[in-house]
Order: sequence, then structure tokens, then C-alpha cells
Amino acid sequence: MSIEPIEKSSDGAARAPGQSKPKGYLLLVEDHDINQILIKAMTEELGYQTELAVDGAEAVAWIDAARSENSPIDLVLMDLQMPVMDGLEATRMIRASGLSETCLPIVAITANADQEDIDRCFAAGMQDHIAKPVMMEELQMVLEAKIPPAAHKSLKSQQTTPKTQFSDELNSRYATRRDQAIGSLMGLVQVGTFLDHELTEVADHLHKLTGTAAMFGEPELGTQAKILEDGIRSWKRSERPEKIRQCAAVLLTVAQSGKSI
Amino acid sequence: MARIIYAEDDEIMGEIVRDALSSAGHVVGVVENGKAALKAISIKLPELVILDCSIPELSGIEVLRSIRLSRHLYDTPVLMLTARSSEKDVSLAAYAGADGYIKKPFDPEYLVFLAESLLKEGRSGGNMSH
Repeated sequence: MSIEPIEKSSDGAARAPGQSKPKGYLLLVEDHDINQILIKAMTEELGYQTELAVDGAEAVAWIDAARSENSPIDLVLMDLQMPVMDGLEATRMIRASGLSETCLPIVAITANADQEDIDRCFAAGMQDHIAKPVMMEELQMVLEAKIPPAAHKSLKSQQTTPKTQFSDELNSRYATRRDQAIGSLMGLVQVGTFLDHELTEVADHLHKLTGTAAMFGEPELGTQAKILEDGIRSWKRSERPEKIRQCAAVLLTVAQSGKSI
Repeated sequence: MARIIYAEDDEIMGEIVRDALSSAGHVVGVVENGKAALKAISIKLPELVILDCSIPELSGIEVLRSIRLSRHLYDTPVLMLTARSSEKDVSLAAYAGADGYIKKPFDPEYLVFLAESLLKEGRSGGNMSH
């Protein structure tokens, strides 16, 4: 099969990849190396920028990273049969992580698909399908229908931070945990001996704070607790007192400002 | 109403999730390590399992792997909870066959929403409409 030359863009210039702003950003999920090269080349010919994942699991991880780094992605082209995690399962996992179909359309690439296969794609959370071998016209039609021009968006994390009001009991348990962590840290710094068992105790308290602070509206406190916990467990003995004092000062300042809100 | 097992070693997190899911009408068993999770899952045969990635004894990923390899349990939907900072957890969860994941911190209502969509659609997804 050969790739047909496509129409030049309206200004008459051939579009070379990377020279102008892409029409959209795609993730191609495909395990077959020839298909990877072919389909990627076709999408780039059409003016899209395309990244590659070789199986469903890699696609899930790639999309998650794009989401936290706020990198752009407009659509996923997903093969169905792949090792490790197939296209249906990956689609379900992407949808079950809270990414809606309007936020990120997923298009199946299907070989020998009958109606039942196609129904299965839609049921898993896909929005369209393209038959293999992929033809330029069909690819172009689907991409243009699914990616509105100049509407490139990044997958801002849709995940919401806690808004829920917790019960008094939970709030007071968190307050106790917070007090214990901060109290033990202040004790450690004031006594200044930095014995192993003291360090372990403080690190354990910080660990518990790390896991919950953000749930109770104090994400920065959680971050500082994590930095200090990791440090206590990894810094060399000689540098410990100095570094712990520095980080503790930051953490206590954060904790103080959190309390006044 | 569904039976749900949640594996989490942090008692406050356990309480938050139990509160949220039981207010939505579900029955939640909280266990605090991976071994206890596997035991509870094989006895209670829950309709949904929620695993924190970093629980002691067996990690959440190891429990997930055991579920997927079990003849009786492999079809149970599993939702993973990961620390926001850990990119690695998400790819491990995907490779091990998770059905969805949530990064901490999260709104408990969001967890209920994802849990219920998994309960509704199940793992098979095959014949169900969307």
C-alpha cells in the first residue's frame, strides 16, 4: 500500500512536520511496527503531531503523565489487539480514571471488525472506529470530525481536590495526627540529639501526615512532610542535623500559615 | 447497594472512604494490609475492590496481580489509589490490569462517582450499553 499525496494546504505550501503549528496532538497506540510507522506518517501528513505507545498499559501511563504535566493531547487512535493490555481494557481504564469522552475522544483501529466488535468498542467508551488498512480519506474525516480546529486543549486534571465537609470526628482525628507530627518534630529539633529511634518516630508521624494533609486542605504541608520524611530516611548522618533543621523550619512555617486560614 | 473491600493502612483514609461509600448505600469492609485484603476478597467476593498502592505485607499492585490470576476473582473490578507524586504507580497499575485509578488527594464524592460507574459497567463491558 502506498501513501497517496494529499492536497496542499490552502496557502499552497506543503506542510512539513514541525514547521507550523500542528492541527492537533494525537496518541497512536499500536504494537505492530509497520503500522506504527505507516499510521504515524499518515497523521503527520495530515498536519497532526503524533506520539506513540506500544500497548494499552503504556497508553494509560502516557495519558496520565500528559495530564499531570499539562501537555496537549486531543485524541487517541487505539489498536484493539495488543499484548499486555488490549485497546478495550485500556479505554475502560482511561474512562474509569475520570477522563470523559468530550475531554479525550478515543478512536478504535479495527481489523476485520464486525458489528459486534464495533459495539464492544462503543461500550468500552470509544467514540468512533477506523478500519484497517487505514485509508487517508477515512482518517482525515474522522480526525476532522473529532478535533475541532484550533481547539487544542490540554487535559487539565479533572480530578477535584476535596470539597466534602468531613465529620467532626474525622477533623479532630486529623488535628491530633497533625499535632503529633509537628510536636514530635519540634521535640526532635529542640533536643538536638537526633538518635535513630527519635528519627524513626518522627519519620513515621510525618508519613501519616504526608498521606492525609492534602485531603484536609493542606497540600503544601503534605509536600513538606514528604520531603522531610524522605530526607530523614536517606540523608547521611553527618548532614542530617543541619538539613533537618532547615526543612523543619519550612514545614513549621507552612503549618503555621495553614492554621491561621 | 454493593459490597466493596477497601485496602488501606491509614485509618483516617479508611474512615473517609468508608463514610463516603456507605452514605451512598454501599457496604464497605476496610482491611489494612495486602494479605488481609486477599483473604477478605476471596471470602466475601465483593463487587468492587479498592486498593491503595502502598499497603504493607503485599502491595496493592501485588494484590491486584493475584486477583487477575485467580480463577474465581479475575473478573472483579479494581480501582487503585495512588499518591499523586508517583507516576510509576499508574503504569504498574495499568500493566497489572487495574480498571481505574485515583490520585490522592481526591474528593470522596469523586471516588464514589468512579466506584459507581465501575459497578454499573463492570469489567466485561462487552454487551453493555454506554
